[in-house]
Amino acid sequence: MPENEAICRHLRNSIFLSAASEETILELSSQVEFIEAAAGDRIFEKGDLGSALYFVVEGSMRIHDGDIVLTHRGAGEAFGEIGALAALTRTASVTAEIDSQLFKLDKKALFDTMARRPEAAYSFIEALCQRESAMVHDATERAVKAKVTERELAIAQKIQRNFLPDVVPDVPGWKLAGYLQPAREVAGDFYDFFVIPKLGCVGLVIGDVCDKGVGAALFMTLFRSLIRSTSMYRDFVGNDNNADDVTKILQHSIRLTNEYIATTHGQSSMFASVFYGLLIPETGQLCYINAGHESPLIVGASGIRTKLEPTGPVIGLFPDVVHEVKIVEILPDELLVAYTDGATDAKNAAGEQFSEENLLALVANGAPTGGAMVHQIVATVEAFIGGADQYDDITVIAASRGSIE
Amino acid sequence: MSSTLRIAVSEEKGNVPVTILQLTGDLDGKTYSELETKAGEIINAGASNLLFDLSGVGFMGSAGMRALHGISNKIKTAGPNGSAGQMKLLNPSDAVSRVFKTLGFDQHFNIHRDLDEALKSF
Repeated sequence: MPENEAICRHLRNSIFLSAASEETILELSSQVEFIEAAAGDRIFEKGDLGSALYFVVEGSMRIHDGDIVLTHRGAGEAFGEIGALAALTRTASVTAEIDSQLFKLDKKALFDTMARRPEAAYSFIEALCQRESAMVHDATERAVKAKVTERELAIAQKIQRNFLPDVVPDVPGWKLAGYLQPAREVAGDFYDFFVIPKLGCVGLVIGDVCDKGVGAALFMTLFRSLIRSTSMYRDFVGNDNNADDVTKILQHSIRLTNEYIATTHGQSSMFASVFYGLLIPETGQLCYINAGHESPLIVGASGIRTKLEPTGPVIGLFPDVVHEVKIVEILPDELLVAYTDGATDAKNAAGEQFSEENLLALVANGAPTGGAMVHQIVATVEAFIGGADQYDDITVIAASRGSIE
Repeated sequence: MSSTLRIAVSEEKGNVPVTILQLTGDLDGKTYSELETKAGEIINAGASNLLFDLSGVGFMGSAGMRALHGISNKIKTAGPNGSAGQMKLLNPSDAVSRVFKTLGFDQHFNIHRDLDEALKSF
């Protein structure tokens, strides 16, 4: 225990006692308890009932809520005033960061002194007001920063929308539809529709970049743009004998995108599952590559006729992989539905998953046209999620073929 | 509702020393960084043979897959003097195995069903 004079000096320097009289300091100095805390010692836990105020003599304290560090208190500073002065539980936990020394002032001693010495109470009130003023200042700064971030994200969101088709191509005899519901401001999911006039075919793309949020959104723009550009502008190269072959365009596009991301951005381990189909509207023939994506479904009046299972792994990770191209026919009155796992993995407030089973049942008995099917799936999954947080981006696309006249 | 992941680390002496990371919980967007950090510490401490016991993983999201791939990249130069280390997986649940298969990761990772067999394979 330090000498009384040292204790007085220490208390006098605390903001809580800066306006207190010498008598108050002297009175309190005889009532403090000296505590030696080893690095890692917990002084008190969030939720505990507060019973004392602490002054840091030497060392450093971490004020935290679990892993989140709120602030630090070093030599000359005090902590625990909320629990010490009010009948409130501790608002945060306090842990010694290094071997430290503290003075502990019991709540009862504190109140007894303040009851007898108004100047002591005044000193505490002034210190509390200073802390509150600093907190308001911090909160204002944080709110301004949050506003800037929010504005930036709103701009990012608006720009990202330009990476989705603004209009769905009008394909005679077909109805195409797509919808993306981001879990956050920006999404890692994407879908695309584009016409390649020279080949008379329509590109249908749905993809899911791993994880979500800003990182996934940056890669989403890359995946989407690479697939679109390597498909649509291939004959710009001139004399490309493969530019008019649907199968080769698919393979070229996926291979180039995969190679580019795996080699240029290999260190980031970012990947996307992608389903990419080229549809010949007149015949209903769909050539496709399924790169590690949830199997799209072909649905007719009697339910799900076939699942278009993966023909290779996700793209962006494994260089030199060649994805197999498969061909399927979508018959009159049938439709193709593709979705991202944000739909099947969606959770409600009870933590239950929407599940693949539910989605398949919904699709099997679902609406007969592209737009209605997309709407039905999105609305059903959103109703299932209810008040719970949407955990992942949800994307659905559909292409329905009309009846033959 | 928040997902949690517990990581228990143990050592086995087979033909070579193998560090086993036993994962319990969900490996998803909320927890993958814990695995990255832990595996990074273990690799930096000199381990170059890692076995991930996935039997306790209930849900595996794409972020978890990304973390595993990132660790597999790191382990490639984790052996003595920058030589290749090895990373293998043990006993994913049926649900997790389905995710591996859909994404095509089953071709990329070495997946074992039996601990002894997995240890001998290093």
